Amino acid sequence: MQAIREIVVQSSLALFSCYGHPAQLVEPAEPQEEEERCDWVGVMAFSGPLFQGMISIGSPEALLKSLYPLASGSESQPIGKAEVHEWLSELTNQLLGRVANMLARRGVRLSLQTPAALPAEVLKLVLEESPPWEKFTFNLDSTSLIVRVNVRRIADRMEIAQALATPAVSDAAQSEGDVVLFE
Amino acid sequence: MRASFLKKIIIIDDSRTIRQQVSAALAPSGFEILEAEDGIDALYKITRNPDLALVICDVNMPRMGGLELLEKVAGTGERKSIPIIMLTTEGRADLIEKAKKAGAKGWIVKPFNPKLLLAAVTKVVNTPPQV
Repeated sequence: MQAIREIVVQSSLALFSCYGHPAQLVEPAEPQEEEERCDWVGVMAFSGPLFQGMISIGSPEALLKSLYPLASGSESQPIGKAEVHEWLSELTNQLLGRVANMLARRGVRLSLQTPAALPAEVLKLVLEESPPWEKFTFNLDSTSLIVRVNVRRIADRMEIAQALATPAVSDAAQSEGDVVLFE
Repeated sequence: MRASFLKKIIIIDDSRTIRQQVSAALAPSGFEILEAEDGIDALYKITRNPDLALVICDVNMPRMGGLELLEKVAGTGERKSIPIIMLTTEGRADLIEKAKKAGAKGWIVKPFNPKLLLAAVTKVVNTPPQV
């Protein structure tokens, strides 16, 4: 599953950069303390013929506010908890979308569910109940943001390994930000 | 009086942030923006707004997704001539082809560039419908 790890990291870096916050992957991920600094987690499930699982983003509220796309410009209203909560759902959606599109270029299809955002303490319960989560800590503006993914195999290891080893074909998925008009 | 000359667009997305982003990108250029949060909400509003110039629609939404809505709107009835652009995190070629066959006019993968969105919307709403 190393390929999935790499895809999750690449997708995360690209997404945060897109919102004006270049990120660095912190290795190794430092346990415990970052979790306590997360106020909210976005979670989203995916499934496909090879594997299924969930992805999550955990972040302090202040960092989410700084990533909020309508924070600057003419929108002068303060960003409330409802906006942060809703925005984290969409950010999680965009992260998993990037992951799914990178996998699609290797011929691996995923169906995506709808995202949700939860208080961070709820995720702790989910973590205890579900299979091990891979954790990636990113540094954005000296603040830690945590991406987690858990993957459960459906197909056998060999089939998954072969699929993930397939060279990426760029036209198997449209790139983020691209506009295509038909006819 | 001026409102009657505005081209009316509906943005369908379960994310309020995205709906607001689209509105912020298009409204200053003279588009009137309606919002719906899923396919069912959208069907209701599309039916009640016969003067819609364009539908912008997410794919993955609760209750009714965008591809199902596309088939319902583009495939049947008097609303089939409304152009529909999909705006989604999905970039899979097979989904794009499915939408194209169902009658969509375009596909944009989030996050979107507001200027490119405005250019695409302007082009589509100013293209006469094919009979």
